[in-house]
Amino acid sequence: MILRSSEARAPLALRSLSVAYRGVPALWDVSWEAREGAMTAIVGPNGAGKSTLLNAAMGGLRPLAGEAFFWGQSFADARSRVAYVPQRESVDWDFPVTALEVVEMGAARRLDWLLPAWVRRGAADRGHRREARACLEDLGLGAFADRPIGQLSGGQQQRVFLARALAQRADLLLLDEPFAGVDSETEDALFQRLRQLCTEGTTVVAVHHDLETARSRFDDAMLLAGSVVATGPATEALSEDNVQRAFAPDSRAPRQLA
Amino acid sequence: MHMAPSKFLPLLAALALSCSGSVDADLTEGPRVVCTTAMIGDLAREVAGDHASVSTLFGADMDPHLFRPTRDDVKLLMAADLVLYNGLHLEGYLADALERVGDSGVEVIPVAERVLLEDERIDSEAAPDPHVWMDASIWSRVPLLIAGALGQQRPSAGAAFTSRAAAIEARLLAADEAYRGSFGALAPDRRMLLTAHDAFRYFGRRYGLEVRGIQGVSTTSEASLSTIEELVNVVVERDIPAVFFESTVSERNVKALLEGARARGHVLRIGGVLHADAPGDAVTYEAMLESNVRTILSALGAERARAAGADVR
Amino acid sequence: MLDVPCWSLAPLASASITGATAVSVGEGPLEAWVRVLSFGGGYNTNVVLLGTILLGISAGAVGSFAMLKGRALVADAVSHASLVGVALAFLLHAALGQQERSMPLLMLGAALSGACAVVSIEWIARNTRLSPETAVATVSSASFGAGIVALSATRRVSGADRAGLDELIFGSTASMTSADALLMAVLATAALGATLALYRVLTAVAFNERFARSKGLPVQLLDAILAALVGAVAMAGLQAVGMLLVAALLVAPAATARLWTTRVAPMVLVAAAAGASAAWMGASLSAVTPSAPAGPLIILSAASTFLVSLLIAPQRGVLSGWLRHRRVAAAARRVAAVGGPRPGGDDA
Repeated sequence: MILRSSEARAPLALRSLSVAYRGVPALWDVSWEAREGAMTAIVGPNGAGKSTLLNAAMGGLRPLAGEAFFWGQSFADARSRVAYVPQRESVDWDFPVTALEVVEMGAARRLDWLLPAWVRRGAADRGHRREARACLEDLGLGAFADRPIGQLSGGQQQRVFLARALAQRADLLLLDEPFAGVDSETEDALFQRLRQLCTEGTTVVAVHHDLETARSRFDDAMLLAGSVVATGPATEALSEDNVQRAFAPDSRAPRQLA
Repeated sequence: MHMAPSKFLPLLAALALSCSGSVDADLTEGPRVVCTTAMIGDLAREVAGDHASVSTLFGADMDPHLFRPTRDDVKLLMAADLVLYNGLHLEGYLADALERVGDSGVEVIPVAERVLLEDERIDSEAAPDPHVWMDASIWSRVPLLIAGALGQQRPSAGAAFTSRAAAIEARLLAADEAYRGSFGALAPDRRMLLTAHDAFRYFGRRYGLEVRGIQGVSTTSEASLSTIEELVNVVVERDIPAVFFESTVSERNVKALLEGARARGHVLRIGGVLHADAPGDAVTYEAMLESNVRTILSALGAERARAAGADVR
Repeated sequence: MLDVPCWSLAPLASASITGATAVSVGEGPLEAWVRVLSFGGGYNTNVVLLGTILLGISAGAVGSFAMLKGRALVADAVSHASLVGVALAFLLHAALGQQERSMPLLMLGAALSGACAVVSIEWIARNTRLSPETAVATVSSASFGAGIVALSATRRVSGADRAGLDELIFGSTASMTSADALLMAVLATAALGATLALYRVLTAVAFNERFARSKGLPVQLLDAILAALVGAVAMAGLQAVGMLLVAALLVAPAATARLWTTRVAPMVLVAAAAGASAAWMGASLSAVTPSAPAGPLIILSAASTFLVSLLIAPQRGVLSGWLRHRRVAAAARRVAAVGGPRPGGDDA
């Protein structure tokens, strides 16, 4: 497998990625590289394949063609350096777990999973718990650590998700619509935290729903409508022309395969 | 146990789903007679001889309480000239079909109901007891009943039917006498018959045995825990030596009873396998009765002999 | 079939050697029931109690995770499919020329087909546009139909009635033997052991599958393990409470536990306890009531526990919600009357 040097260095590099659901293409020939240390927004119309892109990159879907590289490696090899924050609706928030337990899921390393906490009262376990608590405090949720997640507001739930990602100490954060349905105070707090992470060298790639904030708050952007419409610095990639092209009704990836 | 001619026949028959029991049809001419149980069919075949063709719906080890007819079974019944069934709710799931068959003009006779005299009927709390064939003296009236019905279908052979029926009746009455004698010789404290379901009331009344079953008169009812406990008590208190399996019923309930008795320190033997609702590998009605009587006598009688310190051969 | 020597059941037997019976003379029904509840009934009663309690524990534990995954009704599909497996195993056995019923083979058929049902539900849910509920309903009805057809096919095979396959529809709880109880014990150990050892991973996968996969958890393997456990419980439950009721035993205790707990580990334990108590009450009731089938009574017991919990559980119960509503409504009315500042509320 011969990689271009840029592909080998990029935290996330996609090469000709195509994904389809039962014959209907969702992503078509997507090639793109994330810039290290930058905050990138993936923007596009609904059904443009944005969540699919993240899912396929992480190996959750088998692509028709193409691949995804994480610092030149496969996802399986680079797993420990990547943290994924799923869409908030993808979770049953009535699930009987506390905020702390959710964050601990992020902190757990490979073998930790196998035995329950009350069996392994070891130092490692306590360490993870401390770390998890610290991440929650980092996002202002220290007091809510032992609350069942069903009792949290939308913004607080999103913060718990981000805390979980923080607990993974990853170099690349993949977020799926992290600001959907979130109050502006939380939005500000989250942006601030993400910006801080970028300054420290973490790469942030987020599927984002709002064009305005994408232009104003993100460094880079990828405009996606099935296939890549534009990439680059946010204000350029998300120009009026590009946006019109992306959001035009016939701009999707080919509806039928040859 | 009924042996299939080849290994693949049962599977083939089952998968084809058009099998309707072990239907043995004589290919002679004459009126078509369809019987439900082998206890009826066996006698009917002998009475009919060559003058009618007799088929039996239920296989040799099929539980009549659980038999559910297929379309083919109903077609067979509809195409018959004479249908002979037991009645008294034995063929529970056939009731509707039999009614329709009767309405369509076919002669349908509930044999057991017909031969019973008013004061001979045994009813349990839940339902009438249909196991009339267990009493050979009452069942000896069946051949002549069949002969009458056949005679109406084919008057020309009436005399033949009647004479054959009379011969069977004589044999059954003789067997009945012999059984009464054999059981009469059992000690009174040994006369307890414990079986998988309550199929032996007629048998018990005729031959002087007290009978209990784990399940009730019909195998469609689930055995209850309180019944099993109660029977364990009876077994221990009355020092009953043996319990019997049945060829058409699962062994599960009897095994539970065995374990319960053993836990109380009582040695309860398996007396053998009885043919209660179908002849099984005994094939004919008379052989079925003979087999049952022998099995019961050897289980209960041997215990008595052993207890008395006598030699047991 | 395992033959367990009687001395190994000495503790149970000792209760019965004294001649303890289901209903003693001169005892009222309530006293009889209490005596049976405290294992003072006969040997058979105690075997049934023990066996069904162990089954209840397994069903509660395993059912909890099925429910957390949003697959509670998978129990239904599994039990229906188990019947197909038993019937097919029986037909296969007969085709190979065997005459005697082989219980281990039948139960293997049940477990395999039950696990197949779970796997196919997951496959449909993942690879088609059908929602998981639709997947469960489809597989459940299809296997119910298949089960009835397969059972009809067995009827005409020699030896079918003697094999007692019909009993598997409604169960034959009363005739449980020590071998059955032993099987239940093994199952309960495996189920409880597996769920408590793996509860963290099972929880992670049930909560957020994509995240769990991204963390490298073997999601498919875990699904398979859960499927195997559900299949095993359905298989054991077939004989005890029958195909139609085993699903209830997998669902009701878990649902009850959900009403009382807010964390996963307590939920699993409470569900196991709820399953055990349903069996304990139901089976003992059937021992002192003539002609009362144990299986349905166990399910009724589980269902009534659930209903009561639905009403009185703190936080999540109906009564609690109603009281909260009244308090808040009263406060709102007071405020409206006075026009004062808002009452201090939750921070959420």
